[in-house]
Amino acid sequence: MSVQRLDLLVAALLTIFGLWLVYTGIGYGVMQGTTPGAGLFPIIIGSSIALLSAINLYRALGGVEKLGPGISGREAAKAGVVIAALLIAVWLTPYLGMMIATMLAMAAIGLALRTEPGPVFFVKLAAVSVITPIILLLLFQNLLGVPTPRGPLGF
Amino acid sequence: METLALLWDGILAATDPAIFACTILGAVVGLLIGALPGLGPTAGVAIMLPVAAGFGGVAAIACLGGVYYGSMFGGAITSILLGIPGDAPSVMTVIDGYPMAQKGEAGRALGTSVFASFVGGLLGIAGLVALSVPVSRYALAFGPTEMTAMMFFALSLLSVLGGRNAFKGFVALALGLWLGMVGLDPISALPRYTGGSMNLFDGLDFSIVAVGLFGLTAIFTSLEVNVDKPVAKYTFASLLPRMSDAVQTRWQLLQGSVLGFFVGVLPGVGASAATMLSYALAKRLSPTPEKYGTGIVEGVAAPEAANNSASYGAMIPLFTLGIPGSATTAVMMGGLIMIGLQPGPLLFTENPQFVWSVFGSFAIGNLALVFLTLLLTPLLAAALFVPTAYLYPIVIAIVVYGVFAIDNSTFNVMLTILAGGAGIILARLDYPAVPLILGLVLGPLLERNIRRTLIQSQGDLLVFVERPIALGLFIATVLVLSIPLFLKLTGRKKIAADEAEV
Repeated sequence: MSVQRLDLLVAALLTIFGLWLVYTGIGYGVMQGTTPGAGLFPIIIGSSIALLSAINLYRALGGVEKLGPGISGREAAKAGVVIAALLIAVWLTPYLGMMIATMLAMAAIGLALRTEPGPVFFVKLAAVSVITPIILLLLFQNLLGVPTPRGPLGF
Repeated sequence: METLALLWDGILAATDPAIFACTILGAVVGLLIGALPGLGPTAGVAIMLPVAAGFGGVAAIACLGGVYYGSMFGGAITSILLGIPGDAPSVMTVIDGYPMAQKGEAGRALGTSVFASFVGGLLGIAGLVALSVPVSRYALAFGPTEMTAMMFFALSLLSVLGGRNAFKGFVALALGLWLGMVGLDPISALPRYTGGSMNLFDGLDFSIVAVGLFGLTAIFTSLEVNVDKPVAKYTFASLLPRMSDAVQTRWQLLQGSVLGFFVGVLPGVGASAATMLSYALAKRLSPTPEKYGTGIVEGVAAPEAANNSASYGAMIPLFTLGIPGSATTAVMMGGLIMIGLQPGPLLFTENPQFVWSVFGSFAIGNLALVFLTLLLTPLLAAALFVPTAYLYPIVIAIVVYGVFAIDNSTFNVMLTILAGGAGIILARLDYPAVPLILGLVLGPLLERNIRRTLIQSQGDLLVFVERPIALGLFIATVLVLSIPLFLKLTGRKKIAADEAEV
């Protein structure tokens, strides 16, 4: 998807989102006598988002908005892998413990960002991925007293 | 004299080993973050925020402050040695710093940048100390109406100046204000936009969103950055600042520091604009403007003094009014809130020892950075060549542990990752992140103030313009909102704002 098309899509979605905020704001209640209700702000904010995004949509449709070339496919793929690895690690944390989940995420991210050929890279990455979470566990759990989630192996 | 005595007491308090160690830790991390292309002061402060908050009290803010001004020192290293700006505020340093390095004067350029950063920092701290007390005393007279007007003014300035498209700036601001509404309504206790999740009943912790939006987004958008240029040669002895250069650049140092400080105070303008204005002013006032860009020390001194001075100027609205004027100070505000303090005028009356100790730590950190930068420059230059495949997993792991530690919650970690992902889209489509985060910070305060005022006035909107200060600020807000129209009519362009400092 080109960055221009994405801009168009986001502006359209934000316009709809703004209208939804207005709708929910009405549901929360606008005024109770002279007292502003919980819906007053959502209505103001929602209508602002809808109006301004409609202007952005118009500008995007008319080609007024000049955007850079955007994220390359390669960059987007790398960012996607990093985000996915992190979300999977968060999901695995209750089962494996924070330390193991972080090790796996670090290894996956390192592999996604790999620029060096050869087996030395794997050794270095393995060392970084194992040592860093151990240091962080010692720092946060033992020094700062943070109760990090533990896995079946007790850490 | 009283202010100087308070500052001196603060400096003495900041020599406490724990505070001193945190100041130095922050300064070293800031140097590294500033030197690494792709990461800037906001990302640095955001990444360190959860870790620093664990230190508590003065040490936490001393550490975050160290990251902020340390990155201003560090940004010049890559600008001079590689011709690649380490962060946005050091873009102008490339113009003369890199040509100096190519002429074999890399050490002299680095020495000048360190000295200029120190002078800028020193004058910035002097300005911060001199202005903070009177501004906070004045702000004590502010009621909810004036604070509402002040927030409107700051937010409109940020939205108009924060990005290239003011419409998108306001959309980002409105999204931030909406995010600030998530949770229980402060007056009726009605849950809003929580989706039924108990995790969201207390609202979104803005530090969690800020770490994602600034820390992780900066990482996600610089995954392809790998330095493959040769570093310019220098000797350790050549790094030492020269007296002759200090004398030669005295006016540029002074102009840059003063201009940088006042530009830094303005919400939404920031250090990048300060360096550009400072460089332009130095060139305009020079008898030999044609030499700028060819590699002269004056061209390094002016922007480096300005960006350091601006970083202290930007702290004035934060400490005195509780209104952050930039992304970095917004994240620092998160640090203050996390250690249980509400920034604003009351901070000076209720916690004076804290404020002066923090200012004292800034003074110590600024001096320490002169030695740290000179000593660590070879190490920092080498660190630039560590592949992102090793470096970023380490940084991300620190962020994950740090965010978890805020509330011992993996839900927060997930929110941070999602904010980082959303930040990529915002950045690519020119939606500035600064108004969004400030909307999230100030939104709940703004809503509470407006609704309380309306309750007191029984729904009468005129109450907002009855008081002269509030009226003046609302008029200023209208003027700010007309800036894009004025620029369009006069065919002028805006200077890039703080957004690029991430």
